[in-house]
Amino acid sequence: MSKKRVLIVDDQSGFTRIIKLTLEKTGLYEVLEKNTSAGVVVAAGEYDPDLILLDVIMPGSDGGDVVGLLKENPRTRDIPVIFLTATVRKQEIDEGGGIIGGYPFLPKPVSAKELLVSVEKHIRQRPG
Amino acid sequence: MDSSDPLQRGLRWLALFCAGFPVIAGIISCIGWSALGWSEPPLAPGTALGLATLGAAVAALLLAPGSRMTSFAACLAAVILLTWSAVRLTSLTDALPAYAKVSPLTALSFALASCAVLLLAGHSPIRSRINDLIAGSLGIIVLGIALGFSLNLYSRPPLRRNHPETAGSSDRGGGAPVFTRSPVPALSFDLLGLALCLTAALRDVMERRGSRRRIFAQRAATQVLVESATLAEAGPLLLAAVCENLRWHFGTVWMRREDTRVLRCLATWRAPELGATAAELETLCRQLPLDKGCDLPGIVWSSGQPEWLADAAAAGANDKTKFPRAEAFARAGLRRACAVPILHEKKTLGVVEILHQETRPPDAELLDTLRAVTSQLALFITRKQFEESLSRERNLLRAVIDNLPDHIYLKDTAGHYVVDNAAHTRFLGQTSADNVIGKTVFDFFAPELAESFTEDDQLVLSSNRAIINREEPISGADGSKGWVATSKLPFHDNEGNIIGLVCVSRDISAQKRAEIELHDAQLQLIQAEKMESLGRLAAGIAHEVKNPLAMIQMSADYLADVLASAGGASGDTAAEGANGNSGGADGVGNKNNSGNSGIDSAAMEVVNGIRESVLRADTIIREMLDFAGPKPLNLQPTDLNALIASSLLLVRHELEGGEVKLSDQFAADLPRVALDKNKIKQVFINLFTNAVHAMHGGGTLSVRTSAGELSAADAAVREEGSRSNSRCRAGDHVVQVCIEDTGTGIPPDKLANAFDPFFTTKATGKGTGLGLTVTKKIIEMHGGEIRLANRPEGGLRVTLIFRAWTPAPAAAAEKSLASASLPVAERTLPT
Repeated sequence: MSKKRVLIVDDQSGFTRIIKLTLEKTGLYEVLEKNTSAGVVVAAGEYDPDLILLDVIMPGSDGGDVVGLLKENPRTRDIPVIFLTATVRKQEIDEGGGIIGGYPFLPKPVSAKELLVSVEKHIRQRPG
Repeated sequence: MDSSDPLQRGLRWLALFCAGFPVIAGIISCIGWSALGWSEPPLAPGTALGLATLGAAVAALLLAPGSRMTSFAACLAAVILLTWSAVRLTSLTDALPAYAKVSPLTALSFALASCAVLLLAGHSPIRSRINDLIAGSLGIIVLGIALGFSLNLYSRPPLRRNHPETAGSSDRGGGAPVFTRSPVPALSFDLLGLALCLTAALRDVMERRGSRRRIFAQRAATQVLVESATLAEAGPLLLAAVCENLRWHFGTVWMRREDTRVLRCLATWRAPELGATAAELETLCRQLPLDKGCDLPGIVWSSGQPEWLADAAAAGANDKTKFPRAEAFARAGLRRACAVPILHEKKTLGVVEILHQETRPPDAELLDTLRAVTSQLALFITRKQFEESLSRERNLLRAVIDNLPDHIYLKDTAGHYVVDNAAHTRFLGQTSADNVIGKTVFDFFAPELAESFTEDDQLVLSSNRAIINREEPISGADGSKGWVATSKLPFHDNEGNIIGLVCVSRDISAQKRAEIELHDAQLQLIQAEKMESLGRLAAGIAHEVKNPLAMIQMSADYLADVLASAGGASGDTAAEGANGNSGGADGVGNKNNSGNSGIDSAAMEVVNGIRESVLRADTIIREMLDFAGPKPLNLQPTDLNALIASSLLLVRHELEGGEVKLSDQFAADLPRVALDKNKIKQVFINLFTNAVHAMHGGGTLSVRTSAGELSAADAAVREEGSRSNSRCRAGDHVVQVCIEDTGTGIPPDKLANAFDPFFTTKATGKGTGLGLTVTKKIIEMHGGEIRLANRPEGGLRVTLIFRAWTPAPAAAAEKSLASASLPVAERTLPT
């Protein structure tokens, strides 16, 4: 069984690094780190991830802009996105059942368990 | 010469008879003796002429005393006779015609009698009692000489035959006797001498009586002026005093007012015998304003000098315009009029006028008397005007100080109140300043306060320097506390000596209260700004802090997983350890389960410590964020009893774990309250949790609800040691929730800080110090009130007060609730 690909976009390289380690340690995922919002659509097109973990507040384009670009591109529009952000509180996310504006959200700080549960829940299941 | 006295009248008639006899004898001797059939004239021609002249002069003086014409004629006759006598006595007899030759003794008698007439007829200013005395004496001498001859005539035989050539002749042989045996000459001289004596005596009596009357009039006037309070009262009495004593019949007082250019009659007086016509005159006087120069008073006003009309009725007969009252005078039988100005500093204040029924020439002494009376009257008027002015000024000043809201009072050097205005009298709890005057501060204030005031007084008195606006606490007569700003100034007399204190005190209680409230408000504002700043800061740093926290948490979770794997534990342990709600317990579990390696165990403990710290930091940030940002409410009419019950369910584990008993007492039919359920639920959870934490080793948590009107006492209450933020007002229909625990309470000195952020009485790590802060903010957002107070029996009482929800008309209610509700993207506080 091939590993699912996860693209993590966050301007903090330390954070993307630990997410990568955490996810890959499960043996289920392969993670590509991206520490700028620029070129995310290109990287997603090339890497073709099954899930994108996307920070909201980043230098340059923010997470919302990035999602807009992803949705505009036919190759990336179907890739699931989980927002991983410090701007929304856990309570707010919980009240919406983890969904705000149609997108799943994870609040920072997030535990490894919550991350894994959410990733598993929202990662794209490819046919076959 | 008045002759109202019968004795005087008799003496006067006698004197007239005595004076008339020589006149008649003289006339008969000159022209009528032959017609009477007498063989010879009874008197020699010279003697007859002299006696007739002297007798006529004396009679004239008796009939018209004071008349200038009479006096002049009498004096002229006396001077001629005196001259004639002098010529005879100086032996120049040859120069005289034969008919004018008289004996030396007759000439001497003529000279003496002439002198007496001159003295009696002298003009008023030089007349005196001495004149009368000398005139009387001369009369007696003449009488004596005549009597001597009379006795001689009858005691000795005739020296010569009485024949026509010699009878009654004076001197034909030089040194011959003046009088013959005929009794006529001697009798004539006797009666002339008697007439002179009587005239002089009558004069003297009249003079003395007039003088007494003038003195009495003046005294009586003085008495009236002393005893009268007003000019209106004094006027008629003064006229009565003057007229009755001087025997005048009518009087008026005329005054001029500054604002009019006429004289108006202020008072009248009439003698009882005048009758109804005088009453008409009185009425006329009172109705008639007199211009300057019009009528006697107007003339006096114009001239500033006394005026005398010998016959006022006659004077006005020709000019009724100038003398409009002349006819009335005539009808009342009034003739003589005298008016004197009431002068003050050469200014005519008015005129006093008196009238008499008899016409008479001016009487200088009477005018002097009237001048003296009017001078006194002028002094009286000016004194009364001054007193009135002083009284007006005093009343004005009194009205001013009594109407001022400030306390104004004067004290003497011994501290006795000497002046006290109405405001200060009321402040002292007295109804009248009379109750204050003469007393000291010790009669009205507590001893300590009175001592303090007295020290201030002494300081001002000793230093001669004022104390200005000293603010001092004070207790009113009703026990009310307040503040006054007092100024005390030394009070000097005209010589500069300090004779007391002038004190002005202003009630500044309201100002002080406002200052205190302002100060409180400023503190609250500062506090609020601090909170807002803190909130903004929290919001600002939250994002920046959360990112590294996320990094730390993920790293800790990863390490825990690695350590667990190395120790043979399942990966789930690490995952569970990441569960914020039970991280601490999991850490311990990991330690127990991974006992293969001491190092791994210690490392796991450290990692779990990191994870707990992250959770704690995240909690703090979350609570800080609860402060920040707008938090509109989603208000719905809510049953507080149900809300409290559901909140209690959420903390049931804490209650059970803390061995806390629950005692609830929910009021039936509790009015609903417009609340944001989630936020108020957070409040109750906070408060219940705090209560449980305060009851180490168990206790009782009491929750009561009630409804009713907020009393004034409750609205105003700021209990000792309590801290509240009053928003509800007396009379509001409110729902109250009372939460009591049996725990440790809050130290009284810390109560004031209970709502401050990061204030906590819990053990380190147990509380964030933000729970009550958030609670208060939520309550305030609901327009409610929270009060904290330590219970006397121990523990804390928290009282929440909300306004009861009143169902409004449908549309308004919907609007009201809609405006209070949030849009969809409402941010809510964590529960």
